[in-house]
Amino acid sequence: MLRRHIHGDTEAFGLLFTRHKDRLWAVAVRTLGDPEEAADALQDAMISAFRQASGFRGDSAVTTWLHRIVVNACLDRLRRRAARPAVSGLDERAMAVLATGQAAPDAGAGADTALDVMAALRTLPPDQQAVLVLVDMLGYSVADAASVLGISPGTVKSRCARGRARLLPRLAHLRGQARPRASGTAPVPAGPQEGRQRGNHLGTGRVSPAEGGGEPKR
Amino acid sequence: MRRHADAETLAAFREELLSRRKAARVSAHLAACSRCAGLDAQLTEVSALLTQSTAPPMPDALTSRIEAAIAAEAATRAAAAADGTVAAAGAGAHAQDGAARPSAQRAGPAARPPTGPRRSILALRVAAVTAAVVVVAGGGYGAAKLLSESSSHGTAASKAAPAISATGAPRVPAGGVGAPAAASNSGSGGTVPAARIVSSGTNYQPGQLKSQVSVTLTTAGGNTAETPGPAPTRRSASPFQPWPACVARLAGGTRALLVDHARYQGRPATVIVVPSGQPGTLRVLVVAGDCTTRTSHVLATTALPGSG
Repeated sequence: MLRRHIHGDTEAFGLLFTRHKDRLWAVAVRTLGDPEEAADALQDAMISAFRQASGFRGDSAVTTWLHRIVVNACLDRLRRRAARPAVSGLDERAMAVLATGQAAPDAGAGADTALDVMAALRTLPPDQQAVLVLVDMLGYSVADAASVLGISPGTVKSRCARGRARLLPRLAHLRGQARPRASGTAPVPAGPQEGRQRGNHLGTGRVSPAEGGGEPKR
Repeated sequence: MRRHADAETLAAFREELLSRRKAARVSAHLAACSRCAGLDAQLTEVSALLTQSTAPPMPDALTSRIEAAIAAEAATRAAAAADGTVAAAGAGAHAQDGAARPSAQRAGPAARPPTGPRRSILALRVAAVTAAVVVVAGGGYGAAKLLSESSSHGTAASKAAPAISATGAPRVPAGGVGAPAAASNSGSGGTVPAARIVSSGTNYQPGQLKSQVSVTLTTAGGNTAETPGPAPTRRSASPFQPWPACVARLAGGTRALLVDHARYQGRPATVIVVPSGQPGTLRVLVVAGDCTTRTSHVLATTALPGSG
């Protein structure tokens, strides 16, 4: 019975991971800007989630909770990284991988742009990076981002605003590079993106931003 | 609004964060000032540039790596559920990882005392785990201390605890079900069962993992049997030998039976043997590197028939 319980949890968790892995990866790799570190963060987060969870339901609360664990794992790494002196060589190599990781049609200018955008994003405080990754890069709604981060929607908005304002001078040289939304260039996991409320949704249920809100229940 | 708006004000305006009065002034100013309208357009472009950023898709190798890690965790968790040291181990460490934050709340409903029938089922199960290493009375504290020290970041034991308590595992009663399982490895009161930490020098290979681990187990077991390959260069039965940091993470509080600092496919790796939770089988985990970091890359796992 006990074994079946654990076995069942493992299976349920495997399904959950399969269903969400691409979105969770998209969050991790953009938040950290380094595929290798994102891989480590995602693995740590999944093991941590598996240890914490005693039962799963495939509802939005679980999705939010999973996202939160991944985002927190990434933010911890970002903050630790901020605490050490920058290793610029690594960052440049990592971002080169990121920028060239896209499909190749317009690899030249497109890759340079992506590189510059990622480099500029890295100059922001981690809290601002996190909201911009979720809201602007991946198209999560302000409400969903607030649930994931455990902060109020107002805080999400103000962090977005401050982050964008701070990015503006750093992206000034790219003016005119922003392409009109073309069908073939959407980021892999995010899918087609239409306006601000596009792409990623955590589900219909609203989740309290409070820490306990996103937990699966037995 | 006479003065030009700065980028932050405009960004806040776009998010409707300004007071009604201030928003009205910004709005009026934008209509009249081409410079600020241009700045406003640039802000739109910042979001557009972020939207267009791309990232590589999740590598398939990572998917299987994480699935293997979850499977390993599940196996060790099943074994750990039968090991009474875990509850004590959890008490000795504190969550530091941000990802573990919800664990405190999660432990609440899950940590209910086990009910009667459940307890007896569990007791039966514990007796059936031949490979389990049981800490008898007095050993619990030592094990907990060792675990929390070895996982210097406190992640393993602290995160494992809620999961384990969720299964309702009670402390193993001293002298009860512990007797049959502890035969090979028990200590008297106050002694932590000795696991073997060796550097066998073995270069483990995917196809030969089972047989190679069996050899190492036999060799490291202190038997006199001569085996091919170099003899272990380091062996310790001391309970105070520091464990590689990732062992506690992977073993989820279970005592590993063997830790071998060796190679896998020519690259530095650590081979860890833990009880699998299945009667008569052991779990073998191959972890990249020397297993001292927080992150543990599980390269391979396999099951091994084991006598415990």
